[in-house]
Amino acid sequence: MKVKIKKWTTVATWKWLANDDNCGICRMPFESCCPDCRLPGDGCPLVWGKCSHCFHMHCIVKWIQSQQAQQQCPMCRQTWNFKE
Amino acid sequence: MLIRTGLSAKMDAASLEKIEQHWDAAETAFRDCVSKGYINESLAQHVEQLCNHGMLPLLEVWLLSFSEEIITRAMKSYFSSTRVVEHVLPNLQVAAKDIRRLLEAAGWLRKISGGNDEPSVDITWSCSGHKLDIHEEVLKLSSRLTTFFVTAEFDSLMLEIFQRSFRAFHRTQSSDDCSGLVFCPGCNAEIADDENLCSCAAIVREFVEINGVIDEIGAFPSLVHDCVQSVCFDLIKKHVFETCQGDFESKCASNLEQWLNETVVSWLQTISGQTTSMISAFKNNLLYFLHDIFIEFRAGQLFDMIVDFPDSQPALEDLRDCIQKVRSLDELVTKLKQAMTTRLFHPGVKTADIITAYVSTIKALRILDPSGFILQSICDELSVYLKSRDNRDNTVRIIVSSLTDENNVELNAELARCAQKAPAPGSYLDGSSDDESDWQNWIPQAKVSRIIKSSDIITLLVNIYGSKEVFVEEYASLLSGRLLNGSSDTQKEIMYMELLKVRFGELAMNNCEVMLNDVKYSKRLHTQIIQEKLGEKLQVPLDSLIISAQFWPELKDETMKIPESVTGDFEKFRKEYEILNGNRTVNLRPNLGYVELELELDDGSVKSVKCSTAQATLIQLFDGRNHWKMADIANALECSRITVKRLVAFWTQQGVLAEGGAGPDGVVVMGSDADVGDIENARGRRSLVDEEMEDDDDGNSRPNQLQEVRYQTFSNFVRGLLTNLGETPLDRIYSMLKMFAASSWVDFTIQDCKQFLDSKVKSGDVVYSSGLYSLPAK
Ligand SMILES: [Zn+2]
Ligand SMILES: [Zn+2]
Ligand SMILES: [Zn+2]
Repeated sequence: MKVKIKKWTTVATWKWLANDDNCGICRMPFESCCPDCRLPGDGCPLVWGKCSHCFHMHCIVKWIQSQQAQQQCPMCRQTWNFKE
Repeated sequence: MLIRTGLSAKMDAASLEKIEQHWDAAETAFRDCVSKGYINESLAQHVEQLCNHGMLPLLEVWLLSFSEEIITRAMKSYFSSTRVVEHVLPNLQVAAKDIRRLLEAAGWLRKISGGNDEPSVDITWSCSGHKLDIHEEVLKLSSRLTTFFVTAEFDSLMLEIFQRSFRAFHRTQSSDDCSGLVFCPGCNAEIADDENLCSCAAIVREFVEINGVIDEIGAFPSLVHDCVQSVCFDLIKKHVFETCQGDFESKCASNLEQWLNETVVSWLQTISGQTTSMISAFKNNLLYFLHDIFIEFRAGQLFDMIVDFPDSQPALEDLRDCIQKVRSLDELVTKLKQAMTTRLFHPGVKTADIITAYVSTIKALRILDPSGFILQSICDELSVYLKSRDNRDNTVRIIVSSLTDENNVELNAELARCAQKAPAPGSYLDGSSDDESDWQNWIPQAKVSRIIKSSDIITLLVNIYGSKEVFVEEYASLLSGRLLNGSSDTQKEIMYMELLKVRFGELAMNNCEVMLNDVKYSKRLHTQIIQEKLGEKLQVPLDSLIISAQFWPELKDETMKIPESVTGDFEKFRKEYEILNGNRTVNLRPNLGYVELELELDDGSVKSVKCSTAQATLIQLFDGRNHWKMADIANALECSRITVKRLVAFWTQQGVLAEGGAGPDGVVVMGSDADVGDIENARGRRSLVDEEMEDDDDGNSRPNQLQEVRYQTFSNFVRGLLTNLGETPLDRIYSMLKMFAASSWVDFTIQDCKQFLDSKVKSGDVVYSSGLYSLPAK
């Protein structure tokens, strides 16, 4: 008998390459989305800070806007700067 | 003697004697009146004297007791002499003579004593405060006494007369040609030679006469009533059953009413003569009864009407109109419930068929009963039943799949139709009271929830489960299954999702939307990575579905080996993915996905199969090698033997592999040089697997039932065998069972035997250990 593969459809789950599983602000998994979004991934992307912490972009932007004076990373309290 | 007690003690002996003379004379005059038929002129004078002494009440009492005596005598002799239909009228006329005279006398007394209203009467002696209508009283007495003496025999004679008279009347009224008939359909007389021998007209005449007499003397009122009722009801019943059988496509209630007026009511009017008071009251009863019998008849057919819906719409509207006239919903509900219990609520009926019936029920009952009362009772019953089946097969799943199954025209159309308008807020059960705001329209007699009244069919179906969340979750799991095994049409899935979004809201459908987005995005990746980047570099024609695991129903995770060519190719894909999507990666789920294969068998035939990744991995082993041992396969695939058996079973079912072909642990390619088993045997094995693999919903199908019967007889045998032999190997049990089964199961194979024993092991009746079967230790 000869077995010929006409098409092999693999299934894979995508994952952010982050050093944590959940967003430190909304506590949702990174692969899920922030409370304001409905579509994950490109719909609700992650951003990294210079401190190497990362968050849902929407979450950290909201956080920063809510900060009166200095803009700090909610995890390590260092000044927040987007990683280039 | 009577009078002395009634007179005042002040009265002197002379006046007393005078009064006694008047009394005796009056008494004699009344007796003569009955026996001779005329009233003595001097009676008036005696009565006047008696009245003047306030003795009218006594005289009336006397007349009543005298009437009782006369009527009793008349009736006793009437019933003893009336034994055949022909005697009913002549004897009645004799009996009526005395009663008629009594009534005349009573009428005369009434007139003379001023008890009646006719002003033309010249002599009246009014007794103040006197109210008794003696004529009326005698008539009542006659009614009571005649009824009292009625015998069962007479009862049936009268019924016969009524029935006969109706037939005869019907005959005289109808314009049908009688020539050529041997017997008249009305009176049964032989009319072949001479039509004038027909006695229909005479029968009707006689009947009118009987009724006249009966009416005059007030005889047998309840008997007459019963006869009329019995005849009419029989007629109506017969007519309804004959004309309304099985035809749901036209209305017939109005025809029935017309028939009733033309036939039954006109009969009553003609035959009744003066008896109009009773008959006219009866007419309303008849109409009521007609509707009642029609509803009862249709109630028994309601389930069939539902099944026939929408063809049965005219019949439903018909029934609705009748119900509004009679308002006997309870019986209808009871009957429908009965029909549903016997015909729908049993394990043999597929859930999908119940759902279909449910949908038809909702539609049909909406027509039948706009108040929603019936629907409410039935829906309650149905949802309780459907929920009770939930453990056996997943009803929600079936509802969801029928909703999105194109072949299910009914629900599919419903979904599309409903999508045009979103359901009113609050149409789903969400714990809040549903008629708080509607208290003004609240009807106590039929408390029907607003959901029942105003919701569409899908809402009602969904509400069986109490919440739309359960429903949507189930939909998501179905969708996931379809997407993962490649049995979906993305365009259609998107369309359904849009429809369901309108119905359940965007938020509820969000997971499904992400799932379908994943499919869309994976297609883009296929173009961007597999087609444009990898192309020729791939060993296998790869495709990849990249999913957002958080949004999919939980997927079973199995570590499993798939061909290195595939994992290798996926690695290439992963690298490209990471380049394309910075900071993201993909993890392969080897057990998920599907494979399209082409098998070229040794005889040159080609077979296309779509299967799971595990099934594909297993069959790949047989590429160029026709024989494997189970244990080796388990090693090669790095999985358990149970998994191997399951995977092999798929290919045996496909007719590609055969189990046990070369040694007990062997698996061979069917028809190859390694397949030494004879073809017949292999087929037997295959069909067994087929049976096992059959859809659970069809679990009660014929072959399995046969199997069960066989197994039951085997059970006792095996228990006895194992009790005697202790631990026994399969082949020993097989050889003994084979002898035992020889007559009932000719083609009983060792596989059958093993299957049977395994089922016993599963149920705990038998223990299996290191190749030996035994009874469990007590
Ligand atoms: Zn977040
Ligand atoms: Zn977001
Ligand atoms: Zn930080």
